[in-house]
Amino acid sequence: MADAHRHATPHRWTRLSATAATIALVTVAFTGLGGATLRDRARQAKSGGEITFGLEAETTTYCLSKAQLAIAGIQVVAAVYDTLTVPNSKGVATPYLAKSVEPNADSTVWTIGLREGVTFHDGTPVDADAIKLNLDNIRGAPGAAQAGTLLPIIFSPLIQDVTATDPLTVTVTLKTPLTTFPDYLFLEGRAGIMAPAQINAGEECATKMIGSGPFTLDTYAPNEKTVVKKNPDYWQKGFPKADQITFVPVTDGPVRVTQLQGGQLNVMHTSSAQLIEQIQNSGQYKALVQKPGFREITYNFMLSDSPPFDSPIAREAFATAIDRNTVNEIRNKGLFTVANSLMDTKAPGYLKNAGYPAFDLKKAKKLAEQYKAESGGSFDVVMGTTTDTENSAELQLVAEQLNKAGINATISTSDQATLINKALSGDIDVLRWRNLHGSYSESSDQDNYPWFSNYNTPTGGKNLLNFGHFDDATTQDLLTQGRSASTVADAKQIYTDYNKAMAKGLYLLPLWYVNWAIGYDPSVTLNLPALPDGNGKPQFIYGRIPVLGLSASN
Amino acid sequence: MELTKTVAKRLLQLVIVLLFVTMFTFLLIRLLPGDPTTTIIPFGTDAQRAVLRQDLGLDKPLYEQYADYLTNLLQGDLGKQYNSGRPVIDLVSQSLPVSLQLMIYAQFIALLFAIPLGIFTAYRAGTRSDKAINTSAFALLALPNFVLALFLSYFVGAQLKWLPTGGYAPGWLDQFFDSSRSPDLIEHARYLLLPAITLAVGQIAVYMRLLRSDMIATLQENFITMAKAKGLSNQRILWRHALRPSSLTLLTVAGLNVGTLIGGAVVIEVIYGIPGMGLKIYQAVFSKEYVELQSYVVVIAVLFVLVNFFVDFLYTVLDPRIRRARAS
Repeated sequence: MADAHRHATPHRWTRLSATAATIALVTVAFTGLGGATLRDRARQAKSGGEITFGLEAETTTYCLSKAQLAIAGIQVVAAVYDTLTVPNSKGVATPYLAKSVEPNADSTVWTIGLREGVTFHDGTPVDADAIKLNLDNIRGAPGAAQAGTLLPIIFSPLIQDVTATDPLTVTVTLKTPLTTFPDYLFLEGRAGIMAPAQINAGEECATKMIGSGPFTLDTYAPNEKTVVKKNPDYWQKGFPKADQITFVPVTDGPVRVTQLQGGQLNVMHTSSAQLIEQIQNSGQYKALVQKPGFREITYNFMLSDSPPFDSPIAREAFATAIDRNTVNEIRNKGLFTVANSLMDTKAPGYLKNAGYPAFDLKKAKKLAEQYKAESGGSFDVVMGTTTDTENSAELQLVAEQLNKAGINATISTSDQATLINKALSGDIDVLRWRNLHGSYSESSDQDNYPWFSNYNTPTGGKNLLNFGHFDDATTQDLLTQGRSASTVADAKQIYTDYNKAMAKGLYLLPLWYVNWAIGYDPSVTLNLPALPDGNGKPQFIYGRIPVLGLSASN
Repeated sequence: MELTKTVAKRLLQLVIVLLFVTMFTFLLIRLLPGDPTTTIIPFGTDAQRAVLRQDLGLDKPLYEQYADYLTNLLQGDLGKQYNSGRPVIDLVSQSLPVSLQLMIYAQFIALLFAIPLGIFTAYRAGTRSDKAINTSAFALLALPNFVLALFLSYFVGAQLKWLPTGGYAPGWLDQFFDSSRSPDLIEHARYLLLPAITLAVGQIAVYMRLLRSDMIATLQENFITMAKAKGLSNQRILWRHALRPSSLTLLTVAGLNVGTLIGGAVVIEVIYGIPGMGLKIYQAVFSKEYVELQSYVVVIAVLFVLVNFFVDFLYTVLDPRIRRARAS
């Protein structure tokens, strides 16, 4: 086609120039290239002290007696609810929402004293009836409308009865002496106290969040944001500092860091060593990294009630085939510490090496051959983990090491609930898990007894929380002793013996301690104010950061 | 009369498609291993699971479960999420406008670039500029959209800080689904620009190539020769006379893409933190939220049929020959 107008006319140039200028002006206005940057605007917008907190997952239900909360949910609970006790930085469970938590002589009856004048967000009092309602639902008392399935496994064997003795006093009668009952009233931050209006809200209990905490629920839009606003009537005067916290689920860790860098978040949490390093090396953002003392442990649980791991030889072959130092170097860049103990340094029972076997490929091969000869020729292992890409990559590395030792390892990934179910039904042989087994300095009971009590219970049932399905008379006896240890020295000795016994049984192979970290923008102040009544400083534990002292500057 | 017949025909088609899609999805989902009770109460005993299964109606025969679902659907009840008890209609109301807006912007950006480029390359077929543009188009097509998403999010968002790296603010459509969500149009546009560009880039290449092929064929037609002979300008011939009949394939593919863009953009939604339907579908699959998943499929199926109905209507607008053929 002939084109008589191939060269632009002056009129056309004018139109093009005008169009280009308009586009440029709109771009400048839209993106702020010509003036204040995104960060400047965000900083100005944060003049009221607004925090945008990136969480690693969304939580679909906040009916706390039924919920099976992970850290993302626990962090929101820390804002909206209070727990009766909290661990201080020395690892001692101290009264928090409760004014006092006192035992009788043999620790079978505990008296919880409440604070006067404390109210829930709907104005109703935090009184003995409200606490009783919460505890009854947590323990699955008959008639409890919001009893779940997880918490009753822990509390039902513990609590005989709960009575509202007077408006500010609750009496809890236990089935067995338990010196560490206050530890259970925190439960890694899960045991938030709900208002009766929430508990009695039927299905709406999942979303109608009413606590007594420093922030009140403003908006709950699942998978988008949960907005909480400062509680002006909070019982700890002068707190909270921030005007508002917006919790945003950003499931992908690297995306969370990108959003921190981009200014969409000013606080985020992570347990990935690589991301922690990235934040620390950025030079621009800060990271509060959990110190040694009460850290979680990642481990591989060997399911011990069926082949191959009903054989101690198979368990030892598995343990000696894995070069944990190499896996830690590759996956965590050596930033985490390999664990050879079931507890961290400040928890009773800690040992630098409780007796877990070191990597020894030659020995692993020999043991694997021995197992095959005894069992009929094959040594096949299915390892289960969540769909998290980092976990899958780590297990891939472990599988390669196992294959070198003559163990045929395959990986099964699924969502967390399905993974738990596979472990319960024995569809996997190894469960890659992470849990807290030492969060207090005076006892390791709460973090071990429910999870590692024998799988087959004296009443003929199953302890569903013992994912390893093991029964060991020695460890069970030590756990029972530990629960009623009357002095810290006794507790330390008992749990040291317990730690060694668990290593001897080799039901699990610890991998490393997990340092949780909070990454934050320099405009954010991360204070951890002292606990009430002179009970010391709060603890940054299990990725849960107390939110009272969080603030953002102008 | 003609219009009534067409509408009736399309409604019947919609019903048949919905029946087929819901039945297929219903059966397929239930073939997945595991059951929802293991997700809702993984620590539940067998007895507790049996009670829950009864409460959720999962103990009924499949045909009864399907019949119950269809009955509720006809009454506008999309059921409830097993885990939280939230009505699925609330979840759809939150996520559908997000995905719809993202789809519209992505399609708009794609067509904004693809149409002029398609016309230009058809007009300049065989020249160096045509080859350069086509090569670039193939390069864009080969680039996985998640790579582009990560690149844009990091460099444009985190490093240059020109636009947000992720998140969402309600736009013009959200308030029609949930009146409590008032629009913040500037922030909405800023949040969705990068995701829309990410989705549009791959489509630009496809649409441009489709249009180019059809335009080249159209430019050989007699009526174009006639238009030239009448002394019409090239611009007028290309945009006014050649573009319309050449757009039919482009329209068809754009219509077919609607379903993919609404429900299939999960990776983009994760990277940019957008609470759209793709992400919801992904989460529902893993959580074994059968009823929720079926409802999303139904919504996408309805949209798909409606959009393609509209595409058919546009055919008659764009090409009078089709209009006349149908009339006769």
